[in-house]
Amino acid sequence: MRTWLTLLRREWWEHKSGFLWTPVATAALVILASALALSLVSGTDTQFSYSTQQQSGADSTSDAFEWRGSLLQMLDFSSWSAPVLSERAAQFRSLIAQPFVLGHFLVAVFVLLGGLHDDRRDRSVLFWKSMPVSDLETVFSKLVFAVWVAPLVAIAAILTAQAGSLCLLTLLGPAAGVTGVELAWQHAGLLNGAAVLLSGYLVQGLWALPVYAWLLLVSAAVPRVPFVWALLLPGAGVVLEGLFFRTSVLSSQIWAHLSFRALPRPEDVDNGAVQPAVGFAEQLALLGSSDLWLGVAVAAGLLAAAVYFRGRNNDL
Amino acid sequence: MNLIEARGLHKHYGSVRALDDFHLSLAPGQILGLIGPNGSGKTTALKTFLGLCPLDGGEVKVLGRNPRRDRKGLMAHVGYIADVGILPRWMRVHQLLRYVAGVHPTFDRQAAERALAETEVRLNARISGLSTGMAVQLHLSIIAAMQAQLLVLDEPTLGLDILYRQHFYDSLLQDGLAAERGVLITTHEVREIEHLLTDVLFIHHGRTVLQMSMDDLSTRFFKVTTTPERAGVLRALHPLHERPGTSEIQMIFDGADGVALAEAGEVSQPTLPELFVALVGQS
Repeated sequence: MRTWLTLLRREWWEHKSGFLWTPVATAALVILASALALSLVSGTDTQFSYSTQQQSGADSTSDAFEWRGSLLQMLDFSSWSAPVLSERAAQFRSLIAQPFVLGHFLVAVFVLLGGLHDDRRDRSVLFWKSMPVSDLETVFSKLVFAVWVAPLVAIAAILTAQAGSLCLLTLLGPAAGVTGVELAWQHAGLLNGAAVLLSGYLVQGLWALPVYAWLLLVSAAVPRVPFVWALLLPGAGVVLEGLFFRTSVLSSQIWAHLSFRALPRPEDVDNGAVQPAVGFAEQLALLGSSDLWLGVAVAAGLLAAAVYFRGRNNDL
Repeated sequence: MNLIEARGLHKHYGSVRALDDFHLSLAPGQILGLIGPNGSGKTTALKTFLGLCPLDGGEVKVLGRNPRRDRKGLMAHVGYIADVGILPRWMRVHQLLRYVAGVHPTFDRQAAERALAETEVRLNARISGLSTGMAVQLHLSIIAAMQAQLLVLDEPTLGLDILYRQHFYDSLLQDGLAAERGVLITTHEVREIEHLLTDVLFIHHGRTVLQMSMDDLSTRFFKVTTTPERAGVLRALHPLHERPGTSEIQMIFDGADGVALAEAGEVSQPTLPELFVALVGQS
């Protein structure tokens, strides 16, 4: 246990710049962008109108809209019903979460690709291996930290950015004609959203495990340019499968496991769904799917290979 | 029980034989120098003892364990220093100490910090910012604070300037690091360590040429310096090796009668490099 905490702390020290400063900088940017957007749309008189016509079978619906005044006045919370408030809050939460989710994923990709490679390049692998830590512990500590520990920072940053944006709205809104800001807070569901993110990262880690395990395997196995190998080998697999079997199972599986299935994503505004796309129920369903566990099985094989190569490969 | 017991080790990389029927044993209290030219298999041998690479044949036990199967258990009792560049450069000194304290069962962090307080190494310094000499001091104080039974030193002074080299070996002996433990050391600067070895092993083309205590070595091998005129007498006594010269000739003898040798020339102890060359032939 003490070893495990130490190994995770080691990862934190090494990758603080990626896993801490990326979400902190993203949160700062999101809040700045919110402030900018709010000050742009408040105060100025704006007018616009739009009309749409939709034809479906014999039915034809048309929708016309005209606006005059401050754009912020559109945020008329006191006139919205509770379900609408909740739905828009979910939209707002997942919209803000997107850059953080993407940011964490990109940092994790680079950290995992370098995790079992960089120390071979600078020969510090000889020091790490001179410590009473097994190769299995080394590989899993890197995996667990990047996939399940680092998201905690991202979630905290998301929560900060969401709360920060709401604070800005509270400060700047009423003067620009926004009514019922307290209703926006009441229905914001920030903690519930954080809980969905928490369980989401738990499930997402399992869903994307083949991807993460692949990165670790490449990192442990190849002598140089792991990034190129990580892309090249699956790419070659996809091409060969297409040539010889005329199928695309591999590529569709890769794309599927690269997608953020277990994390909230903003619903397409046009189809007007009331519920956010991903909540606890959807995560639980994904957790119960054979696709997820098949991926975990593949990942177990890839991780075993990563441990094997970690045990053989020393300095480059 | 021997700390290291290696019998008939084989290891090849492709067609290159790094180890070819290699034998070694190391008992507590011994300081064994592993001596051979570059590419003779020294580093490969050390790596197999530390469980860093798999063998193609033979059997090795280190502290009674199979190093390949139980590297983790083994490394709780082994201190390893390769040449100076292996400490993680991105880390800070206090982080390194916390890390070792966290994974190592017998590491005494206070002792390491006390030892570092005597040096110029600051706990908050980044390792990449330390001079090579300071990095070695850091690594030594970590090793000294972990009560290892076995020290493995692979070219520990490579990249150090001449002052620090002497200092390294001095502190190795002063801190009692070597006593009560076993030390296995490789270096290409044999002269630097000759005086502190208790035992020596010559390795050539991955093969053990000779393993012997320095005491036995001094009673078994002799160097005789003589003139060309008197060389004939000595040649009749079957020298291992002859180094010709214009005014004087040097010959190395294995187990010859010291009195007979003294009559034909000046008898002295061969240096380790001289002995190595005599044993493996001109190369």
